[in-house]
Amino acid sequence: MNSVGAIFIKQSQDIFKNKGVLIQFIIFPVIAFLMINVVDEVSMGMDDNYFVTMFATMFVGMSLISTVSAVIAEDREKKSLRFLMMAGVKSHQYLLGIGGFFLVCAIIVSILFTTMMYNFPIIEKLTFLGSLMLGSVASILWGAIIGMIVKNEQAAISLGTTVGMIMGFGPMVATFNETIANVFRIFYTMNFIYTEEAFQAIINHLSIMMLNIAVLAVVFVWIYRKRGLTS
Amino acid sequence: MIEVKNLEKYFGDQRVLEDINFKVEKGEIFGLLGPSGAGKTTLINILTKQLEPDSGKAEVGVTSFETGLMLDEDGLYPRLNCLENLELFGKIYGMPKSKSMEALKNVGLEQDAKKAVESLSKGMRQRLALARAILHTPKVLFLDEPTSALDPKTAQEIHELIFQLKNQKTTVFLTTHNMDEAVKLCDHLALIHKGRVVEQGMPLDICERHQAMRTIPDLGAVFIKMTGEDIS
Repeated sequence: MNSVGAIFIKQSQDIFKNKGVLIQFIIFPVIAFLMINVVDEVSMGMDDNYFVTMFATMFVGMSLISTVSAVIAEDREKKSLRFLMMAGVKSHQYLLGIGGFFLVCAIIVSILFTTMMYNFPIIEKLTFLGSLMLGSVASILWGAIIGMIVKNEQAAISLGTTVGMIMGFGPMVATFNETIANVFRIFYTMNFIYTEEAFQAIINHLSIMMLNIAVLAVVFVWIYRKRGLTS
Repeated sequence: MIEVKNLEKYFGDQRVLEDINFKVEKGEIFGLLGPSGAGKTTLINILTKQLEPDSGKAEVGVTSFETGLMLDEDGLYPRLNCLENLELFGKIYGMPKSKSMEALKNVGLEQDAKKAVESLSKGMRQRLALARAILHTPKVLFLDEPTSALDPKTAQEIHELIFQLKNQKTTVFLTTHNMDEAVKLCDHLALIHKGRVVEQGMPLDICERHQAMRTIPDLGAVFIKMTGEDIS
């Protein structure tokens, strides 16, 4: 537990000094706040709370993947991870520390988003928050997988951003095209629960998200066993 | 304390270490002297269990928790300050916070405790890396090129710290391609060339054996005699 806690604290100290990462946790809720206060969504023909749900999806789908992958890749590239391992930190402890920290960050930002859903009843806010949490776990797994397979931080940023854009922006693009929507239905970012229809099919959406997490966890374990963290 | 016997290591078809044999006694400074690409870092990686040998044995008579490591790449967290870097490892080792400041004092960095690592000079980073390596008072310390790319004054400071550790009965295993450093620091050393130990013993004995005692012991001459190549 010492090691997991130490990595968690290290990451919390580092994030405030790493503006590139920090901004990704601030920019989406700030833009959402600005948009909902300057644009009347309903009169523009959009769904109520369109901006909040869309930017929350982008945050969970994009920011977490790119930041987690970049942090792990940086620790590997700069050999910091090697020294942690030499000090007795196990790979799973390192990943728990990093993953745990970013999950806490995701919870805080997701709570911020749900507080902006002015017209939603509390139960629906909590359901949306819960689905964002599941999505965050999936995105952290994505980030860890990318962080393990790339050679350096630059490659992690390139691949993490690409996967993040697909996961984060896919649901927005899907609103314009039925075919894309059908394809994206299998991904967790298309299954966040905030619409009336989504509540009626809540089991279906939860199952898809859980399946996403299960598949990512299997891939993660396979790569982790095959390559390890430092190879 | 450290025993290496008939050690061999291959990277693909290439043999990078061949029939390596030596012993390091408790509390001594042992140097591995050789040019870049001789296999020094590979040997340290095997001794610190980051690599597996293909044959032979490499035994260090302490647990990995009782070893300290300083590599050419320092692995420090650049955005964290000196104290935060040490406190991270202090927490992992389960040590009180005060130990981190103590370690910084030992390497003369107490005034720079709150400075971000990315703002430190190369020499200061080396000293911080050494502070991290000795934070938990290891019984065996591995130093890979501890003074490479350092100015003479900073190198001298690192040498003094290594002598302090020897006085505290720490066993030090270091690699270097600096002959003066090897003569000055090491109780015993091994000369390594293309993955083979070509000579070993006490620095002065080695030089005397090869009539390389001029005004100062000349390990460079020994190396050329043994390998036909200049170490640098």
